[in-house]
Amino acid sequence: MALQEKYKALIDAAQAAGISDLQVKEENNVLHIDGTAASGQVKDNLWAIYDKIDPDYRAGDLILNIDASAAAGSKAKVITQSSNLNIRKGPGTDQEILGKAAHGEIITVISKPNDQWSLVRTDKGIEGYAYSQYLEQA
Amino acid sequence: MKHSKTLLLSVAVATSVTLFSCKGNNTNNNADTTTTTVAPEAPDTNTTPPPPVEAAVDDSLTTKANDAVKDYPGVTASVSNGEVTLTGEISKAKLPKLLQAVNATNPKKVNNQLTVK
Repeated sequence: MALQEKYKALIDAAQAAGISDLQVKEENNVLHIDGTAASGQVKDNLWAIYDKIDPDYRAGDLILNIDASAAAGSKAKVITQSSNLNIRKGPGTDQEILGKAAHGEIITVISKPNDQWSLVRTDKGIEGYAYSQYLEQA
Repeated sequence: MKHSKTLLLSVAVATSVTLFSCKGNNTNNNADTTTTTVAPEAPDTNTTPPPPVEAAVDDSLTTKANDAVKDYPGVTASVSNGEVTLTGEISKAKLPKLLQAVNATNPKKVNNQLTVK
């Protein structure tokens, strides 16, 4: 309960921002906040609030898992820092690279097989798995 | 008499071999279906995980954590008992994105021991 007090501003902001499937639960002295954001900006705002409450995220008492990656069947924008995004044969960085999508490119999300990876297709026809953290709802 | 005894024995051996191979097939069949039927119950068993499950969880988490830190040179992730520990150096600007990726791997806890420049 103390953790919910500590992160009250964050939980309130998540509710106000309309985070869907919002779940707040405490396990072994770690607060877990899960949900889905409509945009990457909403997610980044929540992370900025988290940084204010716990500077540099040092306390190790919160897992903030807000998914803002593009949904299956929608278009996604590639939001890598600056480099190209690898498209791989399978969901894992040990998998063969089939091709790349450019920074800022719009691609299609076919499905989301797990929390980390999306099955995508580029306009050039490359189909494979990309890391979901680099895919924002376009 | 001796002849029939041998025959009986060989029939018995053949039967047991057949039974054995049937049993083997059954086990194989079960193994395939078990993976699909047991999977949805995993969250229930998580409350009291036996040691091998914990190790498997750590293996899977290690893969996910390494995927998450891959694009951040100088950052290392290690996993123990479902917790991810981050060590190394990172810029303040990149810190939120890195932690967003790590928090999405479903760890029990994240120990951030990074030096922030």
